[in-house]
Amino acid sequence: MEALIKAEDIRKLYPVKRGVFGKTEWLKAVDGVSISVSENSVLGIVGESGSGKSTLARIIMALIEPTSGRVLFQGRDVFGLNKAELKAFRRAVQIIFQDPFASLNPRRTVFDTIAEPLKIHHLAQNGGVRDRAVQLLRDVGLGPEVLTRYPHEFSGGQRQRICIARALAVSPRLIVADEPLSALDVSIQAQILNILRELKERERISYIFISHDLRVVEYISDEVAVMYLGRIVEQADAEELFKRPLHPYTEGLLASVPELVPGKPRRQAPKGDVPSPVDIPPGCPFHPRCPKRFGPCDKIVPRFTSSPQSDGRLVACHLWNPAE
Amino acid sequence: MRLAGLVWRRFRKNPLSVAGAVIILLLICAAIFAPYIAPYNPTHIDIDNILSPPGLRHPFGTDELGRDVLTRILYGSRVSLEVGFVAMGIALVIGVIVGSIAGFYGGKVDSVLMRFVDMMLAFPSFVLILAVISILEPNILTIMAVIGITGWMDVARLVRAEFLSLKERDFVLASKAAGAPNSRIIFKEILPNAMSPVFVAATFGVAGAILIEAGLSFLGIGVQPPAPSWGNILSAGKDNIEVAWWLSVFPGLAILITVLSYNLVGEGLRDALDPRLWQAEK
Repeated sequence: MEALIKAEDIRKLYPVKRGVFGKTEWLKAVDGVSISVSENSVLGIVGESGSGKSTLARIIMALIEPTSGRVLFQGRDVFGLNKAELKAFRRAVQIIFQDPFASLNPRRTVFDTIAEPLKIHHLAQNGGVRDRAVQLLRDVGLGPEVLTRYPHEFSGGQRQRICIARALAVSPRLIVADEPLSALDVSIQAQILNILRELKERERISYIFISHDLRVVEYISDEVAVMYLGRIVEQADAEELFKRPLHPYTEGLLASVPELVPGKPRRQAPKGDVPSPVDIPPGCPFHPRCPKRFGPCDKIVPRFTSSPQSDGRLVACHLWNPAE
Repeated sequence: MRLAGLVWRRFRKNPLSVAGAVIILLLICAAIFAPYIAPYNPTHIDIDNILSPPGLRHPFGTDELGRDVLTRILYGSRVSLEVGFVAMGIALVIGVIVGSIAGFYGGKVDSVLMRFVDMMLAFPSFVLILAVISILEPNILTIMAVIGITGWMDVARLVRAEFLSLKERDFVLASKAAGAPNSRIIFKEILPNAMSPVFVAATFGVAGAILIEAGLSFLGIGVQPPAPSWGNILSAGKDNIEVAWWLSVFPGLAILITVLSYNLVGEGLRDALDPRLWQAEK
């Protein structure tokens, strides 16, 4: 199937200066990630905080430039688009942010916010802008009376609905949802998740769904990529991944999800904290926390590839892809 | 508008700021209606009543030429207000433009502009003003222009700092993701959110400009006599301080109260304009 959007070998390094005269070190936020999303499908990206998920999202949105690598939209590099092409890209790809308190301009009304993309892309005639805004609000479960209100008058869940309405205004093909639920109460999370899923079915929108919550990702995703310290360590069909995780990190993440089945044996959750992305451990970046580490783990960086041992599944682990 | 109401509700909670605002309003009225409320003509010389102490006929006394001090202070408030607002207006325009460009575009543009700001700041501005005024003809227009042109750097720095943090904020990114051109992002998304601290700084800046003007006039290179200004009344007071305390005390009080009022209003605005506090309001 033709890929809607494709990221190739994305790297994003940030300079970090230690002291005034210290030498510059590099924070590897994203370190060689390739993903692709096809029409009407959901790619889930999971990982702990600091794994580079949000940076990747912003690069895919062409909001920040990668240090190297390309983002291809309909086969064209989005960082080389001219003005008109970029505008077409902006119409096709939208983003929803984690914090609905930060993603709405506090000094503009809901109408201003939702009408902005309509006006920029001339998607409605003067009289039609309000009608379209009302319709978008209805799609996310809000009434027309909210149009004249300001963001501070809403709860988190309502704001996230407004953000979704804004993203929907241009009828996008793909929405990058960067932790869209994690700032919300659990009861609200389900509502927002259902709106997103409904939109997928009805409008055939694809998602890149970024989250640290595995249950949410399992619920909505077709395919899942697991990120650790700026790299993808495992990628698979969602069902397969959750049934049989290959990478010890994925196993650990699954183990950290509270289990509702009593008596089921608990897997070991990953111990310790994520190392600083400035000092990424040598060899496999996960080896200091890995319960299954052995010989090559602290010396050789495992390749992200498939092998007969992994049943053709993509994983970056010496257990499954023995180093030559 | 609901936002204005919200700002007012928060502002009202600070009684000192409200008092400051009331005093400023009174001062503005006094300045506008000076010809109607002043008991005398500000330049009317009365040889029979030189340096007469405060009394029923002259509530604030008279100066060394017999002119009524209350009248001169009322007219002087016109100078102070004009200089304060116009000079700050000039500083605001320059500061907002420079700060916005530096903060939004960053990189080399930012470095060049900010080094220029550092250069301007390194100059003792009062000395710079003295130098410029000694070349140009000292009148109220040059004073306003010079105070404004030497006073925009703080505004530029503030605006730049606001831009730097705001341009990374999610709502700005969302606007960019919606395809908004830079002009729209700057004027509709960033600038309105960057202005609250600027307004606060501007309020303090008005007070500063009034002080500078009073200082210049005191030194005799500001508003030239016989036109009254608080600074040049004080200057006359200095020469007669042993015999006529009222010539120094009343214009001094006028300056003190005015500057204090602007500063109090600035404090109140700072709290009232902070959108993070609106949330707590609910």
